[in-house]
Amino acid sequence: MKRIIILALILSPVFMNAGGFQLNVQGIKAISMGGAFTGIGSDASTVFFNPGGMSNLSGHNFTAGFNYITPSVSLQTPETANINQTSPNATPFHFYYSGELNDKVSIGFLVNNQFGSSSSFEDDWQGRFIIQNISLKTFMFQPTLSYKIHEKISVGAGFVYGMGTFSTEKGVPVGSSTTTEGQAHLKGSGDGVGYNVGIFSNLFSIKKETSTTDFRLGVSYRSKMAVDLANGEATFTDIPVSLQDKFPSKTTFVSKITLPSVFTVGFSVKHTKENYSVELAYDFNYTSWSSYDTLNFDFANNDTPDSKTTKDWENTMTHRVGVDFTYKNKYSARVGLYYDNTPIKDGYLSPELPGVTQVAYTAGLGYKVSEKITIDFSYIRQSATREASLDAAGFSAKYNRKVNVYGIGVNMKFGASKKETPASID
Amino acid sequence: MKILLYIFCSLTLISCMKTDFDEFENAPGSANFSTFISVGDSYTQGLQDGGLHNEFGQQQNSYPSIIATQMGTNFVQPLVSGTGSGYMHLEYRNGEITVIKNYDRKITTNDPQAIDYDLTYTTWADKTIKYNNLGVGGLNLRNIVGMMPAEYIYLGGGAQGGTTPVSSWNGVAGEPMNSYGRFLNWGTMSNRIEYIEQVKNSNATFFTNWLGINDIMSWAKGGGDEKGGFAVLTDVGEFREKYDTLLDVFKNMGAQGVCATILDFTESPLFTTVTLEAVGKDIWIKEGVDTTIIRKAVPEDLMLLSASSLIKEGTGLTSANPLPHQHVLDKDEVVVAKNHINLLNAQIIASASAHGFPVVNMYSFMGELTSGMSYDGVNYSTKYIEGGAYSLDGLHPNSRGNAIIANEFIRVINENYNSSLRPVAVNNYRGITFP
Repeated sequence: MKRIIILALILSPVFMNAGGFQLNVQGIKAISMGGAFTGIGSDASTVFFNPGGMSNLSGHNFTAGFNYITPSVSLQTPETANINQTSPNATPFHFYYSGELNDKVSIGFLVNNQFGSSSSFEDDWQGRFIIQNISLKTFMFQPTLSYKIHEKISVGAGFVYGMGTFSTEKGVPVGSSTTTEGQAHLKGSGDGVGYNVGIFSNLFSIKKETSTTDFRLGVSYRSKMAVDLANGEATFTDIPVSLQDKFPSKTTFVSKITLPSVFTVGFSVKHTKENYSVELAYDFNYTSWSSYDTLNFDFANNDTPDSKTTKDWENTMTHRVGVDFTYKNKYSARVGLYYDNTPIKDGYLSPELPGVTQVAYTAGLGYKVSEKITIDFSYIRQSATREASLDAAGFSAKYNRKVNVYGIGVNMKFGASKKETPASID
Repeated sequence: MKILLYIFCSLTLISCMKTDFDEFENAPGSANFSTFISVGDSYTQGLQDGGLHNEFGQQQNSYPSIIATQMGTNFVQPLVSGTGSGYMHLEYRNGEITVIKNYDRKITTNDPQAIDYDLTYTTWADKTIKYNNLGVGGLNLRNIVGMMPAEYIYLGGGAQGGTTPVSSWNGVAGEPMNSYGRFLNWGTMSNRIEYIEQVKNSNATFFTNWLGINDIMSWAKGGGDEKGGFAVLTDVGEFREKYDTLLDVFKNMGAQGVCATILDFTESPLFTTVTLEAVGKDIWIKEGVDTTIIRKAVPEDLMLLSASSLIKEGTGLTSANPLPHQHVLDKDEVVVAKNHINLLNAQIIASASAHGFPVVNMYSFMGELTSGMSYDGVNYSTKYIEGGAYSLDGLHPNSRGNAIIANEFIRVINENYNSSLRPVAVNNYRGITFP
């Protein structure tokens, strides 16, 4: 396990996903079910989805997973028939632990990549003065505590520490007789803090002779997080001599990226019979992307023009539904979908992050190897088109965007006491 | 299960990940672009930085040449080599970006780094070749047909330069005074070949016509005032008559094409860079040749770019030493220029309409540049040097400006001829060359 995490830390570049630059790949079972998990809480990924759900897990639970994201994005501008993004594939990972301290209290921990974005273009592409490449990576760490108030209600809260690194390159439209144009390279890192709280309720159960039907509800809130890039480093290359005061070979900058808050209400119904169970789940997310109103770079060098980009993103709503069918408490098949609204308005769509409002489809499989180990597989399919402009830059394009996301995860459970998995709570 | 996943992955990777867009179809619509010619003046010829030069494709990327490339049609231009006619450039001196004027053989005070004309420029272009770009620097409507004898030496048949000193290439025997027209055969003084004949012989199937600018600009860029010579304002009646004659020629040869209106060049950097605000002092000006009015400049007076170095040397700072009239388009003259632009544009629109040719409204399009335009992350304006679209002479667009203009022509051509010519990516052309 440890090796997997270390490997993932080293290998983890980041990538883009719909819905701004939030990565909705934080649990393999959740992914398979359209991302709805706040009202399920059946494995340790509830530390992320709903800390209140930790109280439903007995013993020591570990969940680790990673995703392989393969985006394919093409653009067509009025001038150029086809431009392909050259973005790398990405492998965000997650690790969760939730352990029962006593009947009332559980503790947990998480490390994951909740936000990220990475895209690149050929250096000489038409929009090189807007963007050549950009990469934002974040790591979140969250120690968490949950408390069972009542048989039916538990609450949880986590403190979130986030680290982010950011880098971008773009062209500077100045040339001399020996250089065609300059280039700006910006990189920086920073950190921030936030919190994650949730309530989980086993609302009620309907028991019949041969079946049980459980109704569950979860509400969670992950706070926004301001990541200050206080020590940014900017370098300018291939600048004509007469403009090097303005674009010096080296200067520093400050910037700030505010990651949005996410409020979620989730609901699930699980119908269990002797041989099989069917579970339906629905999540509603409200993400405060309006926190991303501008992206500014203030350079320490006075002559360097500060860069101010108005993003003016909007808060978004996402609907997620999924269904899990499990046979003999061993083989699971899952499907789901989510309706994802992009926070990016027409007139503000920048080519590095062509967000699209779309329905995405998900599927997955689960296999319980033993009482201690479960393996899950997940898949997300996004396919969408959009035509929009970035008015401030005088850029418009049609976008064709397809993304496949393959996920694999493992759940381990040790020292389960009298309680069973939530599947058989009674 | 893993095998299934592999199959699933490989299937989706190959068949479902293709996002590429199809190549553009470049259809001519109802137009016939097989023989495309452009008629115009220095703007059409590809002149920038106060000269014809081509070391970074400046002349090569004249707006009609860009349009022709998008049409996929052959387009022959009389290209200069080396330093061409000589041109303005920038040097970095004492921490400042400094504009260096063309080398001028008539004066002895040239900057040591001023760029002179290339020796090849005296015998510049093969006159036997049929050129598609018929833009001639300085050409106005008066001179395309029935030229007045006084203007012969300017564009007509090869006098030795009349009374002008024959000390430079201006006086090459058998050549018109205006070197920019020397790629065409103008005949002899007694047996002239008029510009309109060149157009008739072109066998054009499609044309762009952006003549008319010099019918006002030649007057204005010298500070107005002049009552005679070849820098007068063209009479509206004569303008219309000759414009009609030109379009008759196109109509009779069955050509299709577009006509462009005159831009408001008083918004170009040549007229808008040296302002009272920029100078930060009172400036004294002399209003005109025939007047003795010397007064303080007001914001409505447009001081020309050429006033900049004079003011630095102290001219214009006192009433005893005012800025000479040819460096100022005074406020009344500005009104005259703007009115005349509107009068002639009304004639262009009426004549084009009568002949069934669509109009590219360069007047309003270039007006948008005054308030600023953006292309693919680069902002353009009429600000001198920084604005990015005008060349160093402050009047003519640089290659990016030519690309911007070409795109507007392309838009209007497509709109009227159902063609699907693609616009070009402006930033792929050369902007200002900084030192």
